[in-house]
Amino acid sequence: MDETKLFKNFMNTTAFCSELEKLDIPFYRSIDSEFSENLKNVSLRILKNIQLLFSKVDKSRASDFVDVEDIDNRWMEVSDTLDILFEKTDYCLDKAKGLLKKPKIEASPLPVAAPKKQKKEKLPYRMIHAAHLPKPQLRFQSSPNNDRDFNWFWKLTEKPNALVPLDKLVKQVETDPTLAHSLPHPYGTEIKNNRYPPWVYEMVNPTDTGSVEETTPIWVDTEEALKDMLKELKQSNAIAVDLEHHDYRSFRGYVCLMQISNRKYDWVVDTLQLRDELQCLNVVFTDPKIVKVLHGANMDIIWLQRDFGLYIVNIFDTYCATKVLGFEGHGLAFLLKKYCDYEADKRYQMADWRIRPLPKEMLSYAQSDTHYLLYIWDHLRNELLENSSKRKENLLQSVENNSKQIALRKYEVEPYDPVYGLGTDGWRNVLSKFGSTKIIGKEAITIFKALHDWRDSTARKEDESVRYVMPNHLLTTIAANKPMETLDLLSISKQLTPLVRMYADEIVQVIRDAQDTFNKQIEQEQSFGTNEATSSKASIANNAVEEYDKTAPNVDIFEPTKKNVTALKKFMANSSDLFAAKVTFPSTLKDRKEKLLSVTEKVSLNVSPIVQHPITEVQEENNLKEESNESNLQAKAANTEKPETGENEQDAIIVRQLGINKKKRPSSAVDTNAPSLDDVVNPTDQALPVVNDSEDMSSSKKKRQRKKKKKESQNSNLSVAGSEAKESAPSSEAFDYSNQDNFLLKMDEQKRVVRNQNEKSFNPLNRATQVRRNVKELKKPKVPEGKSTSFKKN
Amino acid sequence: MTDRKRVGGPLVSVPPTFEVPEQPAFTRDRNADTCRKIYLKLGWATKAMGSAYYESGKIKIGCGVYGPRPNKTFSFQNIAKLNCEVKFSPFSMLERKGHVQSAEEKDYGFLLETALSPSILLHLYPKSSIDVYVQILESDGTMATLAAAITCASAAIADANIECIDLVTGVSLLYKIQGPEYWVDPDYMDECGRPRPYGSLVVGHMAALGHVTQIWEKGKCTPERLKELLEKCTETAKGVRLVLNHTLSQEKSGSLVNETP
Repeated sequence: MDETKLFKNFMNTTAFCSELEKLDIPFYRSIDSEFSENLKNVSLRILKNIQLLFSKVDKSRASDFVDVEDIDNRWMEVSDTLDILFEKTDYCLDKAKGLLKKPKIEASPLPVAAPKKQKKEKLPYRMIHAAHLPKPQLRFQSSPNNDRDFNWFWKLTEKPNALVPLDKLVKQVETDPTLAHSLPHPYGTEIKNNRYPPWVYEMVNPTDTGSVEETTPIWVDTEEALKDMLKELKQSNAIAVDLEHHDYRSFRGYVCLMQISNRKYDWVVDTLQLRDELQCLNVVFTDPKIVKVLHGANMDIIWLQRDFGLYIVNIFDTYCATKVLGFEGHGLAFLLKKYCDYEADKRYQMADWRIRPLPKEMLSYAQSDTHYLLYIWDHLRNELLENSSKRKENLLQSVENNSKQIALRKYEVEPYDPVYGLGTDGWRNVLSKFGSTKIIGKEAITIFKALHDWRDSTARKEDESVRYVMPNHLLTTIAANKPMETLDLLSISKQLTPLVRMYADEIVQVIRDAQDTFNKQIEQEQSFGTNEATSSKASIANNAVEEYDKTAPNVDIFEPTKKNVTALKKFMANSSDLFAAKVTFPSTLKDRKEKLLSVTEKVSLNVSPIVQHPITEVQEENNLKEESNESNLQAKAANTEKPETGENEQDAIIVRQLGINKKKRPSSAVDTNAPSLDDVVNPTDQALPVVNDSEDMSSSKKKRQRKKKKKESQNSNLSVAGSEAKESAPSSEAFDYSNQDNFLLKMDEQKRVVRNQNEKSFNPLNRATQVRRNVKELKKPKVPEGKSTSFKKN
Repeated sequence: MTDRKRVGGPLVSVPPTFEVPEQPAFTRDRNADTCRKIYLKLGWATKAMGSAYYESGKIKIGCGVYGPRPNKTFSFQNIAKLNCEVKFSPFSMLERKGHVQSAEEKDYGFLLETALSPSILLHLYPKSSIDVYVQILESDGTMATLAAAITCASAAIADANIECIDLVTGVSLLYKIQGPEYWVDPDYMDECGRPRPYGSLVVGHMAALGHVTQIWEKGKCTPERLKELLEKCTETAKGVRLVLNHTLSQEKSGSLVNETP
C-alpha cells in the first residue's frame, strides 16, 4: 500500500468521524435502534483492537480493558502506548537510515541557578495547632466568663504611680451608673499627662545589644524569677515588651507568653503559669521614667488589661514611628532587616504558643521579638530627630501622641447582637464578607442568622473560638445548602470541624426551626396582607388574582358577534399606503388555499374556535398529524416492493447524511420539498406583481434546477415514494383517521422491539424521528449518493 | 473599500424644514383610547415560511419568519431557539439609521424574543431554530413601533404554521406621570410634544388566554395606576387581536375548518 493510498484512507476515516457530532450520538442512539446497534458493534470492534494492541505490547495489560466504557475513560493510556510505539518506530527508522549520530561536542549541563530565596515550608501542623493539648485555661484560678451579658470589671487591685487614686475611680464608677457599661481608663489621667523624659529627645549612639544567639533568654515561670526580673527592670530606663496570644481554642483568648527585654537581658515570661501574679509589673509599666517600647501595641494594650490588669504609661510604639517616617514597610520583620540584618521567621507568629515546654525555635523567635527592639528604637529616634529638623516639625512628638492614643485603648466586652448583627464577629460582617454570593433570599438569611447564633452560643459554652466551632466559609455553605437531615449535613463538606460533627443533630434542628419560623412569618405576612386588601376599597391584589384565575381561554374573540364586528371596524384599516390591496396579489384566496394545502408538513394554528384547553387541543392535532404522516409513510411502504429492506436502507443513508444536513439550509428545501406540485399549483414567485428580469432569470434557473432534481430523484426509488406521498397529501383531508392503524407500531411489531408509546400525550421521541425523516426526504434528491461515496470514488 | 452595493446617503442629514403656520405642539386626531387603524397582510415574502406586513398610520413593518430549520450551532438543544432580529431601514426615521445593527435594534430584538417565546410551543421543534426578521420601513413613535413589531411578528409566525398556544399582540401607551392623562398608541408627535415627564408602557398580550407575556415600562407609576393602564392596554390588545384573527381567517381559511366571520 503506497503512501497516497494510505493517506486517502486516513482522510476517509477522519471525514466519517467528523460527520457526526459527538454530542449528538446519544440523541441518535436513543431514537434509532439500528444506529445504536451499529454503534455497539463498532465499539466492540474497537475494544477488541485495543485488547489486541495491549496483548502485543504488554501481556499483563491485555485483560485490562474489559468494558466499552473503559475506552472512553482510559483513552489516555491507549494513546500513550501508541505514542511510545510510534516513538520507537521513529527511532528505529532513523537508526536504520543511519541518521542517528552522536553529537560531536557534548553539551555541558547548564549550571543550575542557585535558588534565590527558598520558599519556606509551612510549619509542622503540631506547631500551628496542638490539637490534643489539654486546655491551659482549665488551670486558671478564675475560669473565663463567656456569658453574653458579662460585665467586665478592672482586674486592677493596686494602682502604683497613680495621680488619681484607685479608690476614687471605683467610687466614681459606683456612683455613676452610666459608667458601668463603659468603664473609664484607670490610667487615663496618667497617660494623658505623661511626657517622654528629656533624654529621649536627644540623639544617641545606638547601643548594640548583640545577636540573639549571644544572649540566652531567662525563662520566668516562678514568683522568685519574676521578682528578680522586676528588680532588674526597675533599674533600666527603657524596656521592650511583646506578647504572644492565643485565641483559637478559647472564646475570648488569652496571652501565652510575654517577652521583656532591657539592654542586658531577655526575659520570657510564661503567662499561663504566672497569670495572676503579673500585676506587680504595673510598678514598671506605669512608671513615667521608664520608656516601654512596643511594636504594634494596638491589641497588646487590650490583652494586658484583660488578662493581667496591666496598663502602660510612657509607651513608644515603633509601628507609629514607621508610619510617621513613611517607611515602605511597617512590620517588625522589616525593621529587623533594615537595622539589624536579622531575618525574622514570621511563620512562628501563627504558632500555637500554648505548647510547653516551648520548642527551641519558638523560644528563640519570641526572644528576637524584643531583643533588638531597643536598638531599633534608638535608630528610629535618631531618624525621627533628624527628619524633624529637616521638615521643621516635631515628628517625635507626633509619635508620642499616637502612642498615647494606643495606650488609652480600653478593653470592652463586645456584646452579641442578634438583631442587627453588628460587631466584628456579628452576622452582618460575616454575611457581607463570606456569604454575599451564597446566601440569597430571606429564608437563607433567616437560617444563616440562626446558625450564627448557634455558633456563638456553642463557642461560649465550649470555650472555643467561633472559628474553631464553625469557620465562616463552612457557616455560609451550611446556611446556603440548608441540610434537613444529619447525613446531608455531614456530606456537605470534607472539612467539617469536630464540633460540627459532634453537634450535627443540633445544627439540623436549628435549621429546621429557623425554616419553620420563617414559614410562619410568611404566613402571617400573607394573612395580614390579604386582610388588608379585603378591607381596603381598591383590593387590587385580590382582583388581579381573580382575573388571572380565569384560565379558560377567551373564546369570544373568535366569534363573529356583532360586538366583535363593530370593534373590528374600529381597529382595521381596509387599505394600505404601501400595499396596493386592489392589485391582484399572488395569493388570492384560492391560490392561498392551494398553497396551504400543499404544505402538508404542518397543520396551521387553529384560529377559529378554540375549545376549552388549547394546549391539549394542539397536541391532539399533533397526534392526528403524525398519524397522517404515518399513513403517508405507510402508503410509501406499500409502493416499495420490499418495505423491510427499503426501511433499512433508508436508515443506513440517514447515518451517512447526518453531517451534510448541518450545512444546508432548509429554506431552499421549500422548493425541493414538493417538486411535483409546482406543475399543479402556480408557483408563488412566478405570480409576483412586479417581476424583474433578474428575478425571471433566477426563477427560470430554479425551474431548470428543479427539473434536474426531479430527474435525479426519480433515479432513487425512495424519493419517488416520498413525492408520491406528498402528492397524496392534499387528498388527506377526507382521510378517515380512526380506521387507520398506527404505522410505527406495526413497524415495531415487525422488528419485535418493545417500545412504550404514549399515544395521546406528547412524545418527543416520536416527533424527533419524524423531523429527521422529513429532513432526509428534503435532502435526498439533492445529493442522491451521499458524501461518503464521493470519498470512496477517489 | 467602500460599500458599493448600497446607496450610502450622507452621514449627517437635516430634514427639510417647511414653512408651517403656527400650530399646537402636537395634534392628535383621535381620542386617548383609540389607536391608529391597522392594515395587516400575510404571505408577501415567498421565500420565507411565513411573513406579514403591518401598517398603522405611518408605521410600516415587514416581517419574515424562517423556520423551524436546523439549528446552526452544533450542540444539541431539546427545544427550538427563537431568534428575533429587528432592523430599522435607513429611511425609517427622521434621523438616518445606519446599515449596521445598532445596540438599540439588538435591544428590541431581545424584547421581541421575550414577548413571543411564551406563545410558541418551542419544545415541539428540537434541534431547530426559528428566525424572525423584522424590518421597520417606517417608524412613528418608538413605543408604538415596538408594539407593532410584536403584533406583526406574531402574525408572521402564524403564517409560517408554527405551533403556538396563542398569538401575541403588542400595545403601547404613553402616560403623564403627574396627572391622570394617558394616550394609547402614541405616535412620534405624541412622544415629542407631550409635556415631560411622561412614562411609557409596551405590553405583549395573549388575548385568548388572557396572559400578558411582556411588560416594558419606563417612568414612575403607582401599582394602582399601573393596573389601570394595563387594563387599557389589554382592552386595546383584544381589539388588535380581532384584526389579526380576521386577517388570518381571511387569508388562511383554506386550511382551517370552514368558518368565516
